[in-house]
Amino acid sequence: MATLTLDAISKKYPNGHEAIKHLSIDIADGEFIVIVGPSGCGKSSLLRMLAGLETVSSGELLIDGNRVNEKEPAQRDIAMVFQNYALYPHMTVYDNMAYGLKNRGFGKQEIAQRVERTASVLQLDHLLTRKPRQLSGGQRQRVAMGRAIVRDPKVFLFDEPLSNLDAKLRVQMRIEIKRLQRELGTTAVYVTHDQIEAMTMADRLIVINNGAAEQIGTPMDIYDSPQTPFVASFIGSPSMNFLDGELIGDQLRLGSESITLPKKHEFEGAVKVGIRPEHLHRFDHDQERFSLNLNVQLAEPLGADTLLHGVVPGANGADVELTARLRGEYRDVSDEPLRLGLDLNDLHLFDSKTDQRLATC
Amino acid sequence: MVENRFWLNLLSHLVLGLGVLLVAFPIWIAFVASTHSAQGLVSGTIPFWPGDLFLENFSQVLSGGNDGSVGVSAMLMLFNSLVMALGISIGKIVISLMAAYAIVFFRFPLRSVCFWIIFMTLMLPVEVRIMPTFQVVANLNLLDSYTGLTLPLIASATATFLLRQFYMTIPPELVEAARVDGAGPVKFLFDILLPLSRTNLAALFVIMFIYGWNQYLWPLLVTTDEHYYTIVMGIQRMLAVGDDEVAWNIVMPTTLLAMLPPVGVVLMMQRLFVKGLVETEK
Repeated sequence: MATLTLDAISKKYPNGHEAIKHLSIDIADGEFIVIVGPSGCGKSSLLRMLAGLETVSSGELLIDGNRVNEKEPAQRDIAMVFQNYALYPHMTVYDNMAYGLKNRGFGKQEIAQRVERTASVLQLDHLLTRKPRQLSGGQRQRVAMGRAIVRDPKVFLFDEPLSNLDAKLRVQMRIEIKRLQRELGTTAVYVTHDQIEAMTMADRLIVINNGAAEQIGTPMDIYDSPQTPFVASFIGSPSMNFLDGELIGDQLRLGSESITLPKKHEFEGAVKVGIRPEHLHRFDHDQERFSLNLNVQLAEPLGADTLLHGVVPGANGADVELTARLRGEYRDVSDEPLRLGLDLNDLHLFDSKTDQRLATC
Repeated sequence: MVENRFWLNLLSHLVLGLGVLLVAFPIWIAFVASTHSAQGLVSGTIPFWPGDLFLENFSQVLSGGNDGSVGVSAMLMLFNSLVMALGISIGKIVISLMAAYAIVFFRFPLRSVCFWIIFMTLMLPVEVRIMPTFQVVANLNLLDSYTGLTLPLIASATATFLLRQFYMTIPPELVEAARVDGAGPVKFLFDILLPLSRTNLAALFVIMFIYGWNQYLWPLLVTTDEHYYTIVMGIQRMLAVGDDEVAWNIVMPTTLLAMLPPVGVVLMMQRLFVKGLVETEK
């Protein structure tokens, strides 16, 4: 159990590519941090730097207040779960889990005790004599977890550990990992590109884009007030719709309509207006003044909800693509556009030039 | 072939049978020849069925020192061949294992240059570099010694290349997992890499053992003392009798004896050997 401090961590490769740009965060003891971002954004590089598999170009990395920049992975007291599990193919499950302990000079008895305890937590008891190739994907995943847990490290590092599992198992393991981490109280850093994993597992999220942390915060913080259009579109599914508008005083010009916003902004000029699909609903004549006319092109029934894909008229008469998530079933077959309403408090406004969220006053 | 066609079956069996006959017939002749007397063999017709001198001929060969032999017993020559073959195969495996390990898993300056230099020596078999190699061995006073027989043939680009190819298929995550687990370079080599390359090493061992056993030109050059004769060149010496009659009843048993160890090695290592050649188990 430990705190983890990243102080202006950067990674620059010899070819000049900057994989991570001045990233700082204080991770509390026992916290579950999820690093999320599109592929190639540097999230895996960051995790490998924490593990010591990649050198830190500049900045300081502290575990429990001690600088570990120059330490070997084995000396950092971290454990890592790899995407393809990286189990030793020629060793039994027992040996796979015991190998790290053996190298650290634990006695035979202590090793046996620890492995057996971990195996029973992960329900691997009956598999201890098997080789990795005799296990299913989910079992291999659990062995990889066991190899990390058995060492009782200061920090767990997970590198997309669930991406090789099928959807059902992924949900199951997601819950299991989270539960285990809570029980053990070990600080964990988890890398994923799956925003559902990110939302459900994290105490705090780091959204990374192009090597820089775009936003750090709790999942609901990030969902409710994303700082940039990138974060807004990355977190939430289906992703957020964006329309171009113009803000003049408390009037928002959207296409041909002008809307009076409930909150005041100190900004005037071109804005990006973000609308989450799930915040759209069928227009209610009694309560709302603002509506969007969606020309539905495709409806995707999800059971409880229906996703509607279509276009709305935007500025200058150009059509803008928009997705809405409506409750229940969608049966409208008329050619008429569908009128959609929304609560104006659910609008997200971003400065078109700086891509930053507009502060309200 | 799913269909069961009589004529096709017959044809394939005929072809197979012919192949077996082609391969096995010389061995049969060698065996038959080793059971007759020297006179019986040079009389003009080679007998087709075994004679009654099997034990006599073989005991003569194994003890040595008779007519037609080269002055040392076949036992000693077999032993020399064994030393040479084992020395070459084990030495080759150890050296190329370490070379490939360094080339694949360590970052050092001129790494790829080193690899390509090793790779280029693939094009230079012993026969091509035999004069300079002989010169070096002679200057080091290694003529007529086991070291002289084995050392120059130990460096192997082939084995290095094969092991390099295998090591490159090892997922980098496995190396990283071992690092996180606290295994240094030596531990990684012995605990993980060696067990994983077991089948490849067995295949290499078989190939290299036979390569070492069948060495002919090199032992012929570096040994003048018959106590260092290997069995393969010993046979050649037995044939080089000038105007005298060749003692086929001695040559043939020696030939059969020379065949046995490679056959034994292949049989022993067969399972691992085949696995190593065909399997890519990850």
